Amino acid sequence: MDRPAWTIGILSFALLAFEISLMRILSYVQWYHFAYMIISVALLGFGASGTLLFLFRSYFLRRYEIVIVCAVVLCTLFMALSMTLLGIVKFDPYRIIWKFSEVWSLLYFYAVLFLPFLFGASVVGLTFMKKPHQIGRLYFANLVGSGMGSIGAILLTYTADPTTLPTITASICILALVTFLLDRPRRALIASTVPVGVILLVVLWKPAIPEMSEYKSLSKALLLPRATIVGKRRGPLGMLVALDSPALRYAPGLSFTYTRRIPSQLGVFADGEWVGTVIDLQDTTALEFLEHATSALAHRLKAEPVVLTLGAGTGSDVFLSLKSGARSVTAVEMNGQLIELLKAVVPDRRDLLYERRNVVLRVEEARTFLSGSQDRFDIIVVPILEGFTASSAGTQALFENYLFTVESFSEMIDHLQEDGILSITTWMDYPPRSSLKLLATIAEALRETGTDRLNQQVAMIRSWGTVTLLAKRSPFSESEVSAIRGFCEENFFDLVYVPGIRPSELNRFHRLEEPILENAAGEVLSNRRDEFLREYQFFVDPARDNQPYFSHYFKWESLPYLKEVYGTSGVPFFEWGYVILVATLIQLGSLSLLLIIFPLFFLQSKGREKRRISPTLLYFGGIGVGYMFVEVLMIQKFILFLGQPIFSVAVVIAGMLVFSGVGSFFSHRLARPKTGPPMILAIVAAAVIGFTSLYLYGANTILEVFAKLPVELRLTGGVVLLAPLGFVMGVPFPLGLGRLSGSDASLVPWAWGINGCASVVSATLATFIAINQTFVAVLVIAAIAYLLALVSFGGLGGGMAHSSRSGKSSSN
Amino acid sequence: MRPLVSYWFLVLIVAVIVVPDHNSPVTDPTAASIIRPFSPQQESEFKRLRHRMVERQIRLRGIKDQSVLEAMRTVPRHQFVPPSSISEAYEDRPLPIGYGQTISQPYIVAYMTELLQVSDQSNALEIGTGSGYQAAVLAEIVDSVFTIEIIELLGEAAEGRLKNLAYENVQVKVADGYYGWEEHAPYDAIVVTAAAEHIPPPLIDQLKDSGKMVIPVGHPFLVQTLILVEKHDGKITSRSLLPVRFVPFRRSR
Repeated sequence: MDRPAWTIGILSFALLAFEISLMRILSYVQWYHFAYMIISVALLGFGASGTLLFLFRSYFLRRYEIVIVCAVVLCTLFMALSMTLLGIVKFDPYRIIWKFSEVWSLLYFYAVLFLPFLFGASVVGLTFMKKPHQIGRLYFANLVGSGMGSIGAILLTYTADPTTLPTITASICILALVTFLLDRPRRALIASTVPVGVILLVVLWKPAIPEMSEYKSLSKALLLPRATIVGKRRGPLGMLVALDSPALRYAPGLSFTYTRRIPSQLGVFADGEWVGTVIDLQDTTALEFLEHATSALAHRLKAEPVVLTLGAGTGSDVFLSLKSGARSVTAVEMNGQLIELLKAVVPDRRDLLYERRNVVLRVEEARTFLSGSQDRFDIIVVPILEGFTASSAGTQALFENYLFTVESFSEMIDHLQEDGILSITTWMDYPPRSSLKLLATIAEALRETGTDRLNQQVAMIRSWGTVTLLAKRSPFSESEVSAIRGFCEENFFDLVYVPGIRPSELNRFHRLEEPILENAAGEVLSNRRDEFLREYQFFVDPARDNQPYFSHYFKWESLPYLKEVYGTSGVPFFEWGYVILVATLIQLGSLSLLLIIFPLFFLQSKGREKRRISPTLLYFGGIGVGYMFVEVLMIQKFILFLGQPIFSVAVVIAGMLVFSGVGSFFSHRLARPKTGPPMILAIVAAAVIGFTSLYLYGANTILEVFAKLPVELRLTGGVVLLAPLGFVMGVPFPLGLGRLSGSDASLVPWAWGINGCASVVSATLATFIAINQTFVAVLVIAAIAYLLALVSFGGLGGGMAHSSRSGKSSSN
Repeated sequence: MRPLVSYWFLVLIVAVIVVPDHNSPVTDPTAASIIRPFSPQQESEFKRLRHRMVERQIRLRGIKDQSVLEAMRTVPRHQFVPPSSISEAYEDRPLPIGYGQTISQPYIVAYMTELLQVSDQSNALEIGTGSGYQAAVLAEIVDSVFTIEIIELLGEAAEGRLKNLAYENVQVKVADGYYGWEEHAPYDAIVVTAAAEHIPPPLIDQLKDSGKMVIPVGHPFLVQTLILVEKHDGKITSRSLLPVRFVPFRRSR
C-alpha cells in the first residue's frame, strides 16, 4: 500500500477509536443517552468536512501538503485536549429544560468534540479529491482502519483508564502524520510532530478527569460517611466500582411490618449507576429482611426448589433462594468483570456466594443460556432490572432489552417444570408503566402457548415500592393462592391479581387513591385488552424481539395531556432516553440540511453541474441511509446472537467496515463494461435486502445454533454472517464517486459531505424508527434507500472516469 | 516549513496554559450559610413573588390548610437557594442545591406539610435537611423541628442559615438518618426527603401513635408520588398520593 493509504488508514483507526472512547467516558460522567446526543452531533464533523472542502476546493488542492499537515495536527491537538477542554465548562443537562444559559454549555461541548472529527474527516476527503485515481485503495484503507479502530478501542477499555484514551488515540494520529511526512524534508517532520508530541506528554502528565454528574448514584454514595471505594474493574460494559459505607443499606420495597435491623452492605455501581449490593454472608440474622420483600413470594410456594436466576448481578436473589431452602441455584450473569469484582472484594472465598457448592454460575447472556440449555426449573427468578432513580427517569428507553420480550418469556416458560413458577420483580411506578407492560408481555407469552386458562396462571402483588409478578405453565392451585394471600396479609402487601380475586381484597394495605394498576391488570388479562392498550396513556403493549424496547412507554398522543398534568418541564423525566433521541434527531436533521444545502449557493450556475445535483444527493444520501439502517439493524439483532451488546457493536461495526473495505477494493474490477455498474448495483441492492431479511426472519434458528457454540466460534460465526453483507455494501460508494469525479469533479466533496451527514442522521433515525415501529420498518426503508440510489446512478454522469472503490463514510 | 516552528511553540505555550490544575478546592460551604442582605425594595419584591407563588402554585392547586399557606408566605425561600438561582426562587419547580440534591418545588413542600396535619403542639423529625427550607416551613407551624442531614457540608450550611434566620425551634444534626433521633422521639410527624427505596424500621418506631410520615418518591426533579404512612394503635397503614390528578385512559378525559 502507498503512503496516503497508510495515513488515511491510521487516521481512520484513531477517529473511530476516539469516538468509541468518548462514548465510554461520557457514559461514565453523564449518562448514556446524553453521551449519545453529544457524540452524534459531534460526528457531523464528517458531513461538515465535505462542505468545507467544497467551498475551498481549489485553495486546498493547491496547498494540499500544508493543509493535510495542519488538519492532522489540529485533529491530534483537539483529540488530546478534549477532556481538558470539556472540564473547563460545567454542564448540567437536566437544567437545560429550564435554563437557557445551559444551551451555551451544550454548544461548547458539541464544538469541542466536533473539531477533531471535522479535521480528521477533512484529511480523508481531501485525499480522495487529490487522488481520485487511487480512490478504491484509499477508501479501502479508510474502512479497514475504521473497522480496526472500533476493535482497538474496545480492547483499550480493558487495559487503559478511560480518561487517558483520547491521548492514546491522539498519539495514533501523530503516527498518521509521520507516515505522511516520511519522504518529505526532515525539518517538516520535526517541526510538525515534536511540539504536538510534547503537548501530548503534558496532557498525559496532568490527565484531566471530567467530573461525574452529581445526580449519579455513585456521586451521591461517595458523600456518605466513611465512604471508601474498595474495588474497581474496568471493561467495555462499564466502569464497575464497589463502595463501602456504614450508611449504605438497600432493601427495595421492604414491608412496613419488618422492624428489625437492615444491615449496611457493600454497594456496586456500573458507570456510576446502581447495580446492587454484596451481602455479608456472615451476618445471616440481619438478612431476614430479604424475606419481607415482594420478591420473596415465589419461594413461599415451593419447598426445596431447583432455581434459575437470570441476571443474577451481585447475588441478593441467589442468596434469598439459598436461604429459602433451594436445592440448587443456577445463576446467569453476563458481566464477567462483575464476578471478578465480587471475588476481589470478598476476602474469604467461603463467603463468596457464587463459589457455594449448590450454586452454578454461568457467565453469559440470559437468552443465550436459555437457547442452549435443556434443563427445567421449579422457579425462574428475574431480579429488579435497574436502580431506583434510573427506573423513575426512564433512562433505559434507548436500550434493546431482549430479556423482557414475549419471545424471551416464552423461552422461560418452556424451561419451567410442569408446575414451575416464573417470578419477576420490578419497581412500583406511578402512574403504572413497567409493571403493566411486564404483565401485558407475560400474558402475551402465555397466550401464545395456546392456553385457555390464562386467568389462573398469573398472580401479581405489590408493596409500596415493588411489584412481583408470578406466572405458571399450569394453573395456580388453591393452596398456592391461599399461600399468596397469607404472604400478603403478613407483610401488608396488596394483591394486584390472583385467580379468583374479589373486589374487597383490593387496595387494602398500601392504598392508592384509585387502584389504577389493579383495574388495568384486569383489563390486560381480559379480552378487552386491545382496546385497553390503545386507550392507556402510556405505551404498554407487549415488547417483542422485533421491537425490544421494554422501557419505552411514551405515546405521542398523550403528550398534550402529560404536559397539562406534569408541566412541560416535568414530561422529560418520564422518559429521558426518548426525549433525548428526538432532540438529537431534530438537531442532526436541521444541521445536516444546512450543511448539504449551504454549498449549493456557491455553485457556479453551470447547467451541467445543476443537472447532477439531484442524482448526487439521492445516490450518496441513499447509500448512506441504506448502509447505516442495515448496520443499526444488524447491531440490534446481533446482540441476540452474540450474547453481549459490546460483542455485537464490535463485530458488526468492525466486520461490516472491513468487508466493505474489501468490497470497495474490488468494486472497479466487478464493474466491467460487460456487466455494467447498474447491473452490479441491482445485485448489491438485492443482496443487501436478501441477507438482512434472512438474519431478521431467521433470527430464532441462528440464535439456537449460536447458543450451542463457545464464545470464540460465536464471534467467528458473526463475522462470517456479516462478510457477504459488508462486501456488497462496500461497492456502491467508490463506484459512484469514480463516476462523479469523471463527470464533475467539483461535486466530489459535496458527495462526501452528503454521505457523512446521511450516515450520522440515519444512525439515530434508524433507532427512532425501531423504537416506534419495528425492525421490519427499518429494513423496508433501507431497501427503499438502496433502490433510490440504484435509479439515480445513471444521473451521475457518463462513462467511468477512474477506477474506484467503496460504499459509505466511515463515520460510524 | 520554517515559520511553522515558531508557530507551534506558540501553540505549545497556549496548551500548557489551557491545561488547568484539576485539584481546585471545593467551594467553602460556610459561605453558603451566610444570609444574603437585600435592600428593603428587593425584600418587598420577594414578598410579592412569594404571595403570588402561594396564590397561583399552592392555593389554586387545592392546599387549604391556613397554617401551611401562612408558613409558605413567610419563609424567605430566596435565602435557601444557591446565589445563581435567586431569580428563580419563587418559580414553580425544584432547584438544584449541589451534591445532587434539590430544594423541592414549593407546591410539593406545601402538600407534604399539609399531609402531616401538624399543629403548634407538634414535634417533627426531618430526614434529609438539604437546604433547610422544609424545616423552616415546619418550624413556622410546629413547636420543634429536628432535622438530620447525612452530608456534612449541606448540614452545616443549613444549620448556619436557619440560625441566621432566627429559627430557634430547629435543631440540625449531621448523622445517618437511618437511626432517626432517638432522644426526642416519638414524633407527631416525620418527613423523609431523601429519596428512599426502603423506609428505615427505626423511623416507624419513632413515630407517635396517630402520627404521620411522608416520603416523596421519584426523580429529584419530578416527584411522582408521596407515600403517607400512618400509625393507629400500633398498626401501620400507608397510602400513595399523586401530587397531580392522573387519568389513565385517554377516552375518559
